[in-house]
Amino acid sequence: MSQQKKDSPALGAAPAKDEKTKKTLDDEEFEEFRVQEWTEKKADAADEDNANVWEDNWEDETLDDEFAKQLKEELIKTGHISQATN
Amino acid sequence: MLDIDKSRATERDKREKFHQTDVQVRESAREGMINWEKRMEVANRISDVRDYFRLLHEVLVETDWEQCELHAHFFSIQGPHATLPFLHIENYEDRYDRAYLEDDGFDQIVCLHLQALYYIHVAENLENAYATQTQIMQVFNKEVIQKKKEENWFMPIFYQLCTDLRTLAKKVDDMTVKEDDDEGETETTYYEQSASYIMEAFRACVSDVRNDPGTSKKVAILNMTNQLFRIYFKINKLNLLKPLIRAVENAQQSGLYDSFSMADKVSFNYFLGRKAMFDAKLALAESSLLYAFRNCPPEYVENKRRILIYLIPVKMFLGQMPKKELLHKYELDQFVQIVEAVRIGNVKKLDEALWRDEAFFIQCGIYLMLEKLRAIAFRKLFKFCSVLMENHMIHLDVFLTALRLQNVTDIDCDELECIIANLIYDGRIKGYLSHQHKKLVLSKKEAFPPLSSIYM
Repeated sequence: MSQQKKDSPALGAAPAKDEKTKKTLDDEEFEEFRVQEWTEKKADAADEDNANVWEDNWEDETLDDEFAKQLKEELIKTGHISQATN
Repeated sequence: MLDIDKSRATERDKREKFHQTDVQVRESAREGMINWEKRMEVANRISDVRDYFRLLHEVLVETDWEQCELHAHFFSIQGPHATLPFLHIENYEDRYDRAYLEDDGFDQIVCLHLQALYYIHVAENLENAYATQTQIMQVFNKEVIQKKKEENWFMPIFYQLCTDLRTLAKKVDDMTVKEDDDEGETETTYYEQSASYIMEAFRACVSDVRNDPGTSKKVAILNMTNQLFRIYFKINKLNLLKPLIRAVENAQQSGLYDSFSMADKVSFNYFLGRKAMFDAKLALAESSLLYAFRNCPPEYVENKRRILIYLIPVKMFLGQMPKKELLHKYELDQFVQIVEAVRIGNVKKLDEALWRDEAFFIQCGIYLMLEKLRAIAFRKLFKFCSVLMENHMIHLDVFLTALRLQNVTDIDCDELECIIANLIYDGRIKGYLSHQHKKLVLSKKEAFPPLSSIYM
C-alpha cells in the first residue's frame, strides 16, 4: 500500500508526458473534411502551391566554389589531377 | 381551448422554423459553406426529445442524399444536439408514451443513440457507450443497409456512425492503456475491433449488384475504405487493405468513381500515397499524393502539411527538391537542412539533419525513407567528382578524398565500393567497378540518368 503511495507521484508525472505524446500522435491524423464537394483541379492547374515549388535542375548545379577549390588542390597533391590540366 | 390553439401554433411555428433553417443550410451547402453555427441554430430549436424526433423524421421522409448529408450530424455523438441534457436518456425504447420514428430500423438506431449519449454524458461509462455504438452499427447494417435494397440516400448517416465508433474505440483504448500498462500489446484493442463492424457493412455495400450511383450502395465504399485506412494505419495492418483498394479500382473502371465525393477522393489519395510509399511504389505514391495536395482545399492547412510530409521524400527520390518557400509556408523547416544536404551531396550534413529532428521524422514514419536519401547525396557528390575529373574512369581515391573533405571519416575503400555497387545496381549510376584497378568506369552516355527516369 505504502509502496503504491510512494509511486503515485511518479506515475502521476508519467501520464502527463504520455498524454502529450499521444496528443501529438492524434494530431497527426488526417482531419475529416466538413464539406464534401468542391471542384477538382486538373494536373496542370495554375496554383501558387502546385506550380513552381519543385526544382529538378539541382543535380546539375556545381558545388560551392570553396569546396571545389579545396578538392582540386587535394587531387593535385595526390596526383589524380595533373597540374597541366589546371 | 386557447391553450391548445396556442400550442398548435407554436408547433407549426417550430416546424416552419426548422424548414426555414433547412432551406438556408441547403443553399449554403451548395456554395460549399456549411458550418457548425448553422447546425447549432437548428439544434437550438430543439427544446425536447419530441422536437428532436420530429427533426429526424423530417430529414428521413425526404429520402434524399443531400438532405441526409446535411443532417447526418444529428445522428452523431459529436452532433450539435449531443450536449442537450434532455436527450441523455437511458432505455428510451422501453418508455411508455415515447416519440417514434416511422421506420423501425431508424427508430431503434435513434433510441440506441440516446442511450449512447446517456452513457457518455450522464453515466460517464465510455465502454458501455462503445458497446451501444456497436449495436447501432449492427442495426444499421441489418435493418437499413440490407433491407432497403434500391436506395442509398441514408449512407451519409452511416459515415457519421463509423466515425463515432472509431472515436469511442480510441477513447476507451486510451483509458485502458493507462490503467494496465504492463499487460503487453498482444490484446486486440477496441480500435482494432471497431474495424470489423465497418468491414461487415463494407461487404454488404460492395456486393450490391446495382451500378447506378443513384441507388447503389457501392458509392459508399470509398468512405468506408478511408475509415478502415485510418484504423489499419494506426494498428499497422496495411496488408488488410488490399481487397478494399481493389474494390475501389474496380469502381474506377465501372465509372462509379465520379460519384464519390471530393472529400473522400482526397483522403483516399492521401492514404493510398502513404501506403505506396511504404511499398516503395514511388510513381503511384507521387501521383496519389500530388492529387491529394492539389485538391485539398487551402483552408485545410494541417491536411496539406500532412500530405507534404510524405510527398517531399517521394519527390526527392524522384529528383525534385521542394523550394524553401514551400517548406516555410507549411512549417516544415525540419526538411530545410535535409534538402540542402542532399543538394550539395553532403552525407555528413544529411546525417546531422536526420539526427537533429529524428523524433519528428520517426513519428511521421519517414525516417527510414529519408535515410535512404544518402544514396542520392552520394550520387550527387560522385557526379560532381566526375565533372571535375573530366574523365569517365575515376580512381576511388578521388571519391575518398572528397568524402574526407566533407569530414566523412568512417567510410573506407571497401565500403565505398559497396556504396557504388548499390548505386549501379539501382540504376542510379551507369558503369562498372574495377576492383583490381580501384576504379569506377562510367558509361560514356548518361552515366547519371535523371532520377525521375528510375522507378524502383
